[in-house]
Amino acid sequence: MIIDIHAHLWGHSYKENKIQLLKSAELFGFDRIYISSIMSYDPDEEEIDMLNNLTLGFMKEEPDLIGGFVYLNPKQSNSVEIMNRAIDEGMQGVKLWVAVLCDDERVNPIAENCMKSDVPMLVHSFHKATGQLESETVSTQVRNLALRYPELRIIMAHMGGNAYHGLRCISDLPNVYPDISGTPIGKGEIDYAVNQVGVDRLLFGTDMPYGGRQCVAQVEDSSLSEKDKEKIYYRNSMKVLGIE
Amino acid sequence: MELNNIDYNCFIGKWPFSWARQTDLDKLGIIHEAHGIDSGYVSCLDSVLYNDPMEGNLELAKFIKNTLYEMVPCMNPLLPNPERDFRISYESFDYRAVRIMPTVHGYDLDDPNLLEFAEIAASRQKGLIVHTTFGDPRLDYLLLQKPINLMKLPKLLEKTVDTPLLLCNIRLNEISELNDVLETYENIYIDMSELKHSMFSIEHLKEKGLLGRLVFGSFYPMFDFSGAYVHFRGADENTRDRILGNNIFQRGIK
Repeated sequence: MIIDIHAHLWGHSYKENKIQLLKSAELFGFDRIYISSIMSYDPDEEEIDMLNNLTLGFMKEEPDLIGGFVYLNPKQSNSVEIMNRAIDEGMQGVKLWVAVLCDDERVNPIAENCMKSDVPMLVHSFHKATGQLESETVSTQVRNLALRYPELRIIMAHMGGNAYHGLRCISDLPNVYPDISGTPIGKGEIDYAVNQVGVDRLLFGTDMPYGGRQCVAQVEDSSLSEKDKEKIYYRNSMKVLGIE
Repeated sequence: MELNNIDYNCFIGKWPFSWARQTDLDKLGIIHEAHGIDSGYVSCLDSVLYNDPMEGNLELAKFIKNTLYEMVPCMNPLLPNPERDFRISYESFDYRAVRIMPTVHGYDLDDPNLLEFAEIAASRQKGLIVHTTFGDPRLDYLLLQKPINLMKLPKLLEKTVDTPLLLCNIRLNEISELNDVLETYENIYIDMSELKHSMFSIEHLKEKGLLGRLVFGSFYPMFDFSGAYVHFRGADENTRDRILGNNIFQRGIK
């Protein structure tokens, strides 16, 4: 069984993305794909509404395969309201991208509502040696948020971008679950990640349609046992999603 | 000997910024054999960061000799008297191509030193393997790569029209931007190692009629080996065999 905890529809290419995700699920045996829909870095209310409707629409079209995370812009005062509505409609988590840093105080009401609703928060996190976007979170901000809310289950996307840079910041924080999605495919990074955070916190994700196939290769090429690969492929995600 | 399935982008040796990024010829051979790869154009990973890359090249040559692997010396065109490296290589081992890393060594594709270097390579009928990046530049905070402008590629290609030029670690969107260049120059090839950034890249390149330009390259041990190989999943057997067997440096190259 494989659960992809981190995939997307892009607002400008969602029709093509749906086909890509369905085809990948068939090819790689993904049993469940959790998506959020994203487009611009600092979306307004209208765009947020449009994007979350795309997610809901795909969930309804493919109920057995597609699960949803509600995309929020913490700058908007009605984020909690949007979140509650989305959860009522079946979404199972919150997605934050690059509108604000994740330790911005405007994230607090959303974080508190995640805990109240018992859903995880998926936070984009990517340290770039070539320069960050203005409000692009790195692992230090994930750490701040995790310490502020020890009961909040945080999915730290992309292992922080660079595993060597990102994981050291959250290795002692049991409420932070790094996902392996995205571009990192350096040899040995899964083994390194397991050494840093243990095998019970690492989640499988792809970041489809932005690449993704290599994430399967990373797990397969690691030195982990089949039992431990199972944890990464789906068991840990079930725990984070509260569907054990 | 005519080889069948080839990995054009592989190394042995050690990358100093990560404990895991190292391998030796035995380990490389095991992983290749497990994936049906018969040979590889292999370079010395240590050489990439050596002041004189030839030190690593000469060490690697001892291991490659009498194997099915092809020796590919790493070179830095910014170093003075580039002719010297070709001469030492000629005297020390058999080789069909040389490997250069502009983003690591810090020059662009129209740098006069590179153009002179390319002329020497072409005059000796050696192919050129050019790494457009050396791993994701966003991730490497210890070795900052200098980006190159791929639009300057024709300057380099003018010097190598009669010999193959292989672009390694190039992304699908960059390949698309080079559409006109690929149409104009038939001697330019691309490897699979960075196709991970897009989905169904092989299918896309097939649609564009570029399958004949595509070769397999793993960028092992910098990347997990399967990171590139996994792209074959879903591709038909003929497509896979055509890419793996695209033997570009054994056509008219000394």
